[in-house]
Amino acid sequence: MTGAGRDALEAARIVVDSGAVYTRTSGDPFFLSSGWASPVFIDVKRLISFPEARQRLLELALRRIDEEFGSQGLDQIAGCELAGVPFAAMVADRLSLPLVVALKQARGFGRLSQFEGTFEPGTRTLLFDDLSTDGHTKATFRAALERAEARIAGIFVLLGYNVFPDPPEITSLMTLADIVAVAERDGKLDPGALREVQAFTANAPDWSRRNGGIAKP
Amino acid sequence: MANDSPGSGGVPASTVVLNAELRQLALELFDQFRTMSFDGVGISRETYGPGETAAMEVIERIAARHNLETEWDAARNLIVRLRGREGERPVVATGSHLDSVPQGGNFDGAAGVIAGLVSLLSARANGPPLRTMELFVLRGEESAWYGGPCYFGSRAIFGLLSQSDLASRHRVSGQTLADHMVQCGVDLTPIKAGRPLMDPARFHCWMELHIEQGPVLIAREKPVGFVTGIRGNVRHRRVVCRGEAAHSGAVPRWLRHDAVLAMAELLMRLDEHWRVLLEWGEDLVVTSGIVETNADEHAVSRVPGEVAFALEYRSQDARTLTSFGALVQSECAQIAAKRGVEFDLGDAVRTEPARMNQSLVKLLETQAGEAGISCEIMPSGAGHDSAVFANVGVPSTMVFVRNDKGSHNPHEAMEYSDFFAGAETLLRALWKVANQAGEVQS
Repeated sequence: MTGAGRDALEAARIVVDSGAVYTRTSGDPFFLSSGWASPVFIDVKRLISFPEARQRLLELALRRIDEEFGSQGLDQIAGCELAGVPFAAMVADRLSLPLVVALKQARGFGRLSQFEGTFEPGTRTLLFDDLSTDGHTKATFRAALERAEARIAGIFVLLGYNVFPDPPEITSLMTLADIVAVAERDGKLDPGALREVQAFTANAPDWSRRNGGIAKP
Repeated sequence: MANDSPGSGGVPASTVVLNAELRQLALELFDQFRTMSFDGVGISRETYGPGETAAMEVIERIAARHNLETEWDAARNLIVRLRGREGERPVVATGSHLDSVPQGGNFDGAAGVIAGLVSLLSARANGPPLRTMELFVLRGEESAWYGGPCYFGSRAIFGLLSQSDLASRHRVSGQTLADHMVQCGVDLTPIKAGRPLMDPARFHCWMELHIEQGPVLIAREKPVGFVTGIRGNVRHRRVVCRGEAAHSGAVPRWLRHDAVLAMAELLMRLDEHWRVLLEWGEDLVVTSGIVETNADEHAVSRVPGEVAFALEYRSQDARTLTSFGALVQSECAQIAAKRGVEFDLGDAVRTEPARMNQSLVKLLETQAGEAGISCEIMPSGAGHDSAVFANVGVPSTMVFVRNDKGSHNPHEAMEYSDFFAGAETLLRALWKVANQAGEVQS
């Protein structure tokens, strides 16, 4: 197993152990805002309440960022409103890099109307968020960075679902598959829930369609 | 029909089918209803209106021609009856409604009535069942004609119409529901007194066939579905937000009490709550289908001092309805304080979510399996008369028939083969329970 693979599983174990994995196998599934139905919901932002777990996750994330982008290649970190912000702030602090907050919607006029903080055109920016499901909101933030004339070095999330079609280019510390692997190995999901979540990770559009959600983006 | 003389054979056959003759009758009825009720765009049969009565009389005539008993109750619902061998036992009932929304489709409601009629005719040909079987041709299921409240026919049966229901005004005529009921020959005395026309205990069970009004069966490629629960709802027919009218150029932002912005903020806050609640797996839908500033005073250059809007939310879970209601209250209070406006939520009409009977769902599943019909088990997003029956304690469930292009519009697209799959399953299940002496398990 590669270092990144080992780190992904360790990160997934932190998430699973913090109780952030919720499953639904009877009644209504979870619905993502874009309309996908899912048997699993992962509340990654919950991790900010656990300092030790949070710190370890941060170290793993920093290692992955360094491997992928080379910390020297970055001028600033942009945290996505809302749950991306605390994590991005910690990352920026560790790397002694400037921080901006990318807002879900612009406020008023101007190049920086969708940001708190300031930066010059051409700033090499890493967009940072806690979670990416279908990448839909990441596209919004990416467009905001483009409008603000930033250079986008990459998009990084702690957890990328990585199960939906046409994913935008996102680097993730761990994926849903890592969560499922850890939950299975540690016996953290009952067999029925595990089966459904595995069926979902194997073919999310089909699972969504069969459970009342959308079938394609 | 193989055996058209009731009671001849003594012991009724254990299985029943919809023969070609009955299928033909069903198709003819759909055609006849379409012709009778076409309004140039879609199907219009007003709640407690002449079109509804005329369609009901078509069913009455066919029933009478085939020697089924017919009866109009005090609320002018039509009941078609096939007497059982032991008529004193609680009855097995089916049915649906024959009103439609304005410019609606031909299958909403009518499919369940027609399926029920051919079921009774098929059962009759099989010899009398143990229990009496009844078809309820209900009135006034739709909420579109009287601005929100609905299920008038079925609620009247159980003494559940309120004074406010009866005082609801027709969207066009301006007359009250009570006026239109009287014009249809309704005896208002027991209804005004809230006196049930029937005891829920006289029902052994209730099963309603209806087209699905959502996209689930299409998506899952199943012709029929069996319903586990029906969403309840809370309806505020008219919420009024009052601020202060002002000159749109002269008054600065901080001195305004803009009623429309306050309403918009409320709706967006509720939308955000809704998004998060869905993420957490709650069942909820929220709609504001009417928004109006007062045409006598509104103007492009006037800060709106008042806006009225409808607010409706639905859930399968009574607790979610209650919790969301509390959220609405607290958001209104916060926005009112922040923007210097007031919200008057007006009267809310609440319909409780209904749980369907699990053993009836199982029975339908078994019957579909035996008939080689593939099916889905699902909740109902839309409301139905079955919720009224279930909530007074009658063991109830529904058969949904796949239907493309939604409902409450002229483009409803039900395949007749799917209808017959649903009707066949309904018939088999009705026949089964009608010949069982035991109670329906919960």
